Amino acid sequence: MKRLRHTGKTIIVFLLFITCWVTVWSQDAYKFRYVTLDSIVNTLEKLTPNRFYYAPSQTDTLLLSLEATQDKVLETLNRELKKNDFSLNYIGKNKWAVIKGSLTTQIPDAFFADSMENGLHNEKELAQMETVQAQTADSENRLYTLGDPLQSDQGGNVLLTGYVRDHITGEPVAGITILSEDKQHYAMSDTYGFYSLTLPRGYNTIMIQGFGYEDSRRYLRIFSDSSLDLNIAEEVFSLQGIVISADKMENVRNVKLGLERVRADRIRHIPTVFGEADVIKAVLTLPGVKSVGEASGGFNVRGGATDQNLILFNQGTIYNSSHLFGLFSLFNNDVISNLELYKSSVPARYGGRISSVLEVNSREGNKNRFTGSAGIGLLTTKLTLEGPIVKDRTSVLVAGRTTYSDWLMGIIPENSGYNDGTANFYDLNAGISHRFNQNNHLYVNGYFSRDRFSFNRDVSYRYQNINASARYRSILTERTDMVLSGAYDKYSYHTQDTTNQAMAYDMAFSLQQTSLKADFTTRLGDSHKLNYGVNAFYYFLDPGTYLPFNDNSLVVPDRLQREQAVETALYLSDSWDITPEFSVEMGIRYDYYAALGPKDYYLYDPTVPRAPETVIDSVSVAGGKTVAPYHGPEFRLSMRYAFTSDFSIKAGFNSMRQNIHMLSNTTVISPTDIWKLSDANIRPQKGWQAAMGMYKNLMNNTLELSVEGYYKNMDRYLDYASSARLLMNHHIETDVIETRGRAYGVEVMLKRSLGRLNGWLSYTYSRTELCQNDPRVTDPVNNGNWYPAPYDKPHDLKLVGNFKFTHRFSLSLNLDYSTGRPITMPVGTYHYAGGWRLMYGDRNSHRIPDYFRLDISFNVEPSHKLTLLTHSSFTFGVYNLTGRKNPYSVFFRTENNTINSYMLSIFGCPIPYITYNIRF
Amino acid sequence: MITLMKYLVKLMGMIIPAVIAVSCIVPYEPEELVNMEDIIVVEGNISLTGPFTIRVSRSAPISTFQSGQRTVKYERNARVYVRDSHGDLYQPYNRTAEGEYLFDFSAQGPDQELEYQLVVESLDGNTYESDMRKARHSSNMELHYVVDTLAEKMTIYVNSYDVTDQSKHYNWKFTETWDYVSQLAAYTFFDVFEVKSTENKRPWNHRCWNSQQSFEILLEETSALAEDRIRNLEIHSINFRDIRITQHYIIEVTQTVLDSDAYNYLENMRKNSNDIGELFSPQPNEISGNIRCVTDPDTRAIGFVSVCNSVTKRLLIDCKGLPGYVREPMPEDTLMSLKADISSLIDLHSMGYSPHMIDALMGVSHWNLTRCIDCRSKGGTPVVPVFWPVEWPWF
Repeated sequence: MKRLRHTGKTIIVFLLFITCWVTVWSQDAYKFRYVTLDSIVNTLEKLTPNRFYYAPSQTDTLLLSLEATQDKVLETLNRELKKNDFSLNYIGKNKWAVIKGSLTTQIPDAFFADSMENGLHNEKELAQMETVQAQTADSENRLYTLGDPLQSDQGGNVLLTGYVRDHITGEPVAGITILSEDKQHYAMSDTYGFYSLTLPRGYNTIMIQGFGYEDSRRYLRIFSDSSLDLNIAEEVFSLQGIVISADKMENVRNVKLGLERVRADRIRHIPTVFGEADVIKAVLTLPGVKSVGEASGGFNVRGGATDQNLILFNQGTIYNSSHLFGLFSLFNNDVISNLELYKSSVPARYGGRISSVLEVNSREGNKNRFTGSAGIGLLTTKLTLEGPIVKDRTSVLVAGRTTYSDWLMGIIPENSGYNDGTANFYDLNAGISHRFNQNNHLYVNGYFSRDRFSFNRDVSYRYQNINASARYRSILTERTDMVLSGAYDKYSYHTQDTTNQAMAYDMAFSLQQTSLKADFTTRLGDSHKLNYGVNAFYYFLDPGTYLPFNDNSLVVPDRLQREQAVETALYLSDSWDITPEFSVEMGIRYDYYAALGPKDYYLYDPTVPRAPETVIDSVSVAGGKTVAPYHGPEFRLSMRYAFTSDFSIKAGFNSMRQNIHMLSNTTVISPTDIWKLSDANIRPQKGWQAAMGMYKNLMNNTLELSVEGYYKNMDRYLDYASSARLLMNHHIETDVIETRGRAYGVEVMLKRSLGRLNGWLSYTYSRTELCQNDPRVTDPVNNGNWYPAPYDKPHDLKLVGNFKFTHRFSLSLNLDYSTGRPITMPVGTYHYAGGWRLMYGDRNSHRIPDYFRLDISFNVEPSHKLTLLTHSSFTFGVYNLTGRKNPYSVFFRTENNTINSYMLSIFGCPIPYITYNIRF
Repeated sequence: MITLMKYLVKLMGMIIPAVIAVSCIVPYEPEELVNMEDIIVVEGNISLTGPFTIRVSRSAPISTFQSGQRTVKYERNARVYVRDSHGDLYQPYNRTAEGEYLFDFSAQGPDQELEYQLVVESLDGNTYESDMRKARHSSNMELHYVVDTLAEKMTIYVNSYDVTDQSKHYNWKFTETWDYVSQLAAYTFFDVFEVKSTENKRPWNHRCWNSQQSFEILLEETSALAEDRIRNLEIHSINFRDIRITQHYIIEVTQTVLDSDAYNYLENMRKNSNDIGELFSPQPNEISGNIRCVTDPDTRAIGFVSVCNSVTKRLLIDCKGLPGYVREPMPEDTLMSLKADISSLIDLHSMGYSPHMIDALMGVSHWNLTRCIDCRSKGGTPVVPVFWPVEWPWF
């Protein structure tokens, strides 16, 4: 591999020995004035059969002027090139090479690279072509011949597949765009780094682009369907300010709406409080994603509730994604490869939540050598170790993170009464990836985290997440690949209260989920890509166990009935390129869900509100028997029409079902929320969303502009009744209310993903409203009228920017403005039981003041000197630079004989931070 | 590397204190508050075994909170009575200026098996009724206290046990009464015209008594317990050096057993007023009580009137040995000639000084800060409560 790269430096051009064939062309005149070689070549290639080969890295500073007639143009070009110490060399079959200096006389290694046609091919290459083993392409300056030469005469398109890898670590890289030179053919590497690209048979130049990686191209000659792995190099920014040819086609070309991809290195540059790079905080900078406030667990996507997001970590499901009251997320950024957030067009392979899917994948670990990194921040320390167990086959990655955050409790306001508290967490990640051969890969991942906090000495909370998953990925044929995955997830928590010895208890909740999935992708012809598969889930829920804390406690052990359910789904979707301009993605997913016995449930009088008193009968279901099956189809449809290569419009519709619900009476996700499975008395949630968007790339494809509008409908979302008791409730169905929701909005986003100045600016206008119009509810919230959801923040402006001064120094900026969230305000006060009490008005009829925050950070990246043993990077930053006291809540409190109103700001002043990371 | 770490440690040392104080709660006055005033508020529980008080008042707007102390808008002239399920009425025997309607029909031998309701006919012509309920009996209750010298506080605990396993939902209210002495015992006092001696041994306004009622809503339920038992439940605690526990202290606790809906109503009221605005606070919610306006169903009413027979216990605590309240430093005595001009005495008195001693030999009176001499300046009155034990000082 090293030898090849080295050769690449000395070889400038590829030679082809073919019989001559001189071109005579019409008498048109050419006129170029101070243009790049690129544009001359483009023009010539369009108008003449000639093809030119050169190394762009050598010629991109070259500016040429020439004026010639058709027959003299090559001659003139040669003369002009010579002036600049280049030469134009004929290499046969209308092919020309532009070389620095004159043609090398020594025969380079690549001489034999494409020697098929004169029979001079060597044994090694033949052997390579016969096996399915993919070639690896690292060199920009070589022509790669792929496939069966016997098929070279056939026309049409062929399929190129393979993996994109980082050339230093050997790790697959997701989110890399691979496109043909004419931009007609386009692909993006998936989570596994895998891509599949349709190309015309014959000679091709493909361009490889992606954030953080150097743009590069490969010269190919493809005879038939074949594979080629691409090794790409990390971008090193040069001070000379090379303009990067940023062809960001993703937005315009992808058929899906509302898809956001963020790579880990981008996340690292978003300033956060206490400097801990954070996946969820990065998600919150995306348009259409909101949260009720700082330091709140969970997020809301396009008006959906926090439990309506499917959070997948290596295909395992995360039920509580936050550490430390939401200050940190569960994900250790050092092990994250990338995230994908589906806000609108959710692929048919995902289901189970009605709002969005957040897919987070961890890295596979360095494939070439043992490395590691460690980081230290204000609140956390972390360590990551990775490396190959069997070189090029098996790699391992382990990471741990812990906090010394007990002192954080000290910064919580004294009058909140939490100062006596403690709070800490740790999490562990482990992953192994194994390559059996080019076509078969196995990935095993594990995650464990534990959180513990208490607000005072007597009440403590603990929760833990366990995820284990295994994925087996196999390329069955050139056109079909398969992923088999199995995952086990467990989320559980404990609450202990020892305030009163006699009542001291330990309450536990746990949710376990086991899932098996088989996902297939088949490419049919040039224009169809089928995704199909089957998913199966088994849920086991222990909704509550209430035990005496010790012998002094009088608490009677109480255990809510365990809940079990199975869910299976079949899906099929087709991504169909009807014409190069018009593509459609159609999908259907059929979901079958059933709660399982043993289960006893109550029947309620259907004419009156449900209450323990209105039970008319109870039903007992034996073990293994199904209860209340719910099933139905979900539709996914999206289409795109591309008017030009940089302008398209899209429209989409998708419907979803959700069988598991979170019940919470707090505004944020808290470790006392319970999850509930649908059963005979609780129906699944349903939702649909229709969206439309316009995508335009501006300024030579360096700026992406998108405008997306959506309307979303949610049904049977579970809100709680006014006097609800959610914990240890044997009649929980009497305390929840099926609520309808509707949300609509427009998101405008301007994004520059490559270059020294990169980032995005987005503005969102959106509304989210809820309504309890169930006639069986006695006291519906706001008399059954529509009311704003707690996360309804109509105006939202976000700016995420990063400016690279050099490849080592960069400045990041993050700006967030939004309308204040709605809250319920008192409308009066009365004297009762010895003090003043508050009387509340309509729910969420007021708003807290607007939110504004500006964060800034300065990043010092490691030096790229390979001789250094360690590479360290620093981040200095200030969170909330303007020190604005952003309200988290506004509330009234009765104190002695008065009522005072207050505003709580969680981070009410600038918070400087520093983090130090070291790679070794 | 090592120097880097040193820097880091130094930086952390500077940053961490800066971070402490980031989060804050500041006074804030929201704009455009909607006000719903004059909603009737009915408070009190019907008792069949003893006297009880029903208080009727009106809700007040929220937005005038900045004006400091609030006054309750009492509904003084409503017609308030109790009706049983046979239609018999029971009238209050008296009413107070604070909207209180005093009842005691235990002597009439009300039938414990009947259901009772409260009816309020307000002046604006509306009639409000609570729903018909049967009486609940409270189980017995014990009180005790513990002095924790380590945490420097005194805590009062309640114990209760219901063998019949029926009480389940408990509510407590208490009234605390205490005495205290002023910093300086004065044997003289300033009358309208002159400095007078107290003549006897009793110092002037040296010992005062004060009392206050609980303003927190105290609730507990035992549904999850093996026995219907309240064991060592903290009901109140007072830190050392609080003026309430410097001399003698009496707490009178009333225990009421509620129906579960009444309990939920109070619990919700407590949450709405106390557990608000914090990170994991539940969202506030209004739930209706059991008072309904029968003349106009759209008119709201606040309150929950249960029928229950409460138990009241008193706990007497002699605070001898506990640290006194924090004394303030007093200035040097100001000496005034006994023959001084009356106007200069009035001036001095109006500046917050009072005499505490006469030095007849020198012909001067000694003056010092009134707030250190007159116990009334700390809120109490020098009037001994009727239930004050004889063994405790009465002056």
